[in-house]
Amino acid sequence: MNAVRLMPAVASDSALVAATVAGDRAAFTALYQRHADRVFALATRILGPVDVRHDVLQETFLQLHRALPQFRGEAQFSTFLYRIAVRIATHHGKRLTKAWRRMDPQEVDACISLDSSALDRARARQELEQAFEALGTLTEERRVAFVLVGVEGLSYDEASDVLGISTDAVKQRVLRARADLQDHRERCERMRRKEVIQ
Amino acid sequence: MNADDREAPHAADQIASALQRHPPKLDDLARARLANMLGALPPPAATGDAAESPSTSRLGARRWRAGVAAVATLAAAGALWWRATSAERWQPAPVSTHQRSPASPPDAAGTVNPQAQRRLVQLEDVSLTLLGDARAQVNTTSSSTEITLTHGTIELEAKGRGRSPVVTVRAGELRITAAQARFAASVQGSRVQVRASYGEVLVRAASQTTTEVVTAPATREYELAPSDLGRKAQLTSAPETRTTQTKLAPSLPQVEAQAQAATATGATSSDLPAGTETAPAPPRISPPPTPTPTPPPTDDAASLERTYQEAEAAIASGDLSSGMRLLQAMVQRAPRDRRADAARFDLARLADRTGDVQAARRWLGEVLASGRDEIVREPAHLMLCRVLMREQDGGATECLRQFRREFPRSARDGEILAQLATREHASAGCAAALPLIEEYLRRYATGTFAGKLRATRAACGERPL
Repeated sequence: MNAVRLMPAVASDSALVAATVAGDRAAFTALYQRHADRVFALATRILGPVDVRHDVLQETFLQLHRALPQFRGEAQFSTFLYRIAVRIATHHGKRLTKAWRRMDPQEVDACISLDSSALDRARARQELEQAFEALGTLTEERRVAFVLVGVEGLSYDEASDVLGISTDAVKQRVLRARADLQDHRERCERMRRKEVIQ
Repeated sequence: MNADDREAPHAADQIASALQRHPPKLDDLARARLANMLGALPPPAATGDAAESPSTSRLGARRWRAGVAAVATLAAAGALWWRATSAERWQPAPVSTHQRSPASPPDAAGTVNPQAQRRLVQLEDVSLTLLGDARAQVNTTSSSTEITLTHGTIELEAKGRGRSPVVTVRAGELRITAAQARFAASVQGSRVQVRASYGEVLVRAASQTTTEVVTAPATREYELAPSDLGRKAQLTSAPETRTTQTKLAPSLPQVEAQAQAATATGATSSDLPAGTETAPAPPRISPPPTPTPTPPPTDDAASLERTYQEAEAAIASGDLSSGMRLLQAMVQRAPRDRRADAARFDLARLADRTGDVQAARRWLGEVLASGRDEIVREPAHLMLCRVLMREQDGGATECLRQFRREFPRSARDGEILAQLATREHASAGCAAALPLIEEYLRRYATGTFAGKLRATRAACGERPL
């Protein structure tokens, strides 16, 4: 077995939080660099590939910066961060319901790896467009719950902490979201069959 | 539902899978700009209005909502009363929001200061307030707090329970310690001023063996030798200035110092870590500092900022040539300014977008050669690697290796590591690729490239961990 090159130890989130509160600006930048992609991805999945995701990202970290002194480490840092991000994303989302279907093709393309072949890219683009379109048919509550549990991989308990609702309520929302997504696919397939017949 | 439908994966699982396989990527420039902005934020206030801002604090949201509800209720009640008592003159009652306005209340000295000029940091046994453009670095341990003050004025209140110091301020070669005291320390160029308003403050220079006790109320001023003349500090004690003021004022009065040079020739600086006069080393947990400190703002700074904004506006409106012209003017005007690095990076992006790969590489090379700001250097380096990969340049692999060496904590480390492993596998075979693949799978077991790299490892005949 070849030797594995070890990377330098990485400071924990809690240590970076403590350093930020103590006045170390670089620590907060490190927190940002570590979590920016996750927050951006979460915002994209909740809001769709729309430009306002950047606003969500910025507001999330600004609010996080101000809320850090109150972070006592009782919850996981990621839960603390998600809570802020979800709240801001849903706040923006309320004004974006109609914009869901107006996906920016360039923003969708930005999700696809440049290294893949043209065929793979085209397939990925289609998959993503269908996924975002289907998510757009969900109610905001169900979409957020589904994204947290189904896509981000949070447990029901973690999602419950993030959303501030009971675990059972999270389960219910996720189950309904799944049923809605299945219904949506079946509706789409029926429509497609009709088009073929016609 | 027929048999085919039952075998098909659930729509929700397919959607989740698609979203996980194609995670949205944050644009490097947007990432860098936001990092730049966040890096300039003052330390978060532990207490005070800033932490409770209604639009920004999630934890304060309930209180804020309650406050708004109370204000709204009061306003509504007032409006009804006003309407009932004076129907002719009735107008909608304005809802006051001044309680949450940025204006700060009078401070301890009774002086109103703009909140932006006072930043409070609440530590274990120490309250630290940075005034104006003060620059300080804080390092806390379980027993004490060490603050390295490089510029400006800070106010401190040490709340130790015994006589052992709970706070140490390093200002140049001076070490100022206190256990139970309230004092201010100020660094302006080579001058250090210590003003005690309560308790005792101990001041010592590394090059002297004696410690001076400053008992409140008193002010001392010290002159430090320039660092380039050696590390021998001149501790020059000004005559004691008694004052009746017992609270710290936001700005310190000038004290006439009568210099009494007491150059210590034989003393060593063993009490202070090397490099105290230079930019202090950050705590181990934070990323390394920029190679050189940011130069102080010049008169031109505002003009440069304006030019940059104009360039951004031009680019956003599609006028790339004007945008590039403005950015180039910025680079020519202030080649060493940190904004020039951002401008070079923008120029590289624009050049790449317009197909001028050579120009893009040149601009990126300039950022990497002269750039002092890691926030710009990192995306520039990443972009250079991507350009080289796209151009199938032989230097791409070395570029990726160098990126990992220079930015080991980069958020893009996983992506870079995967690229590196793939390239090594393609060019040098399994022996070179396997260590990298193992490292990726160890660090990013559920990462985007994990499946692909596991397949590569299996193809190489290596047993999974």
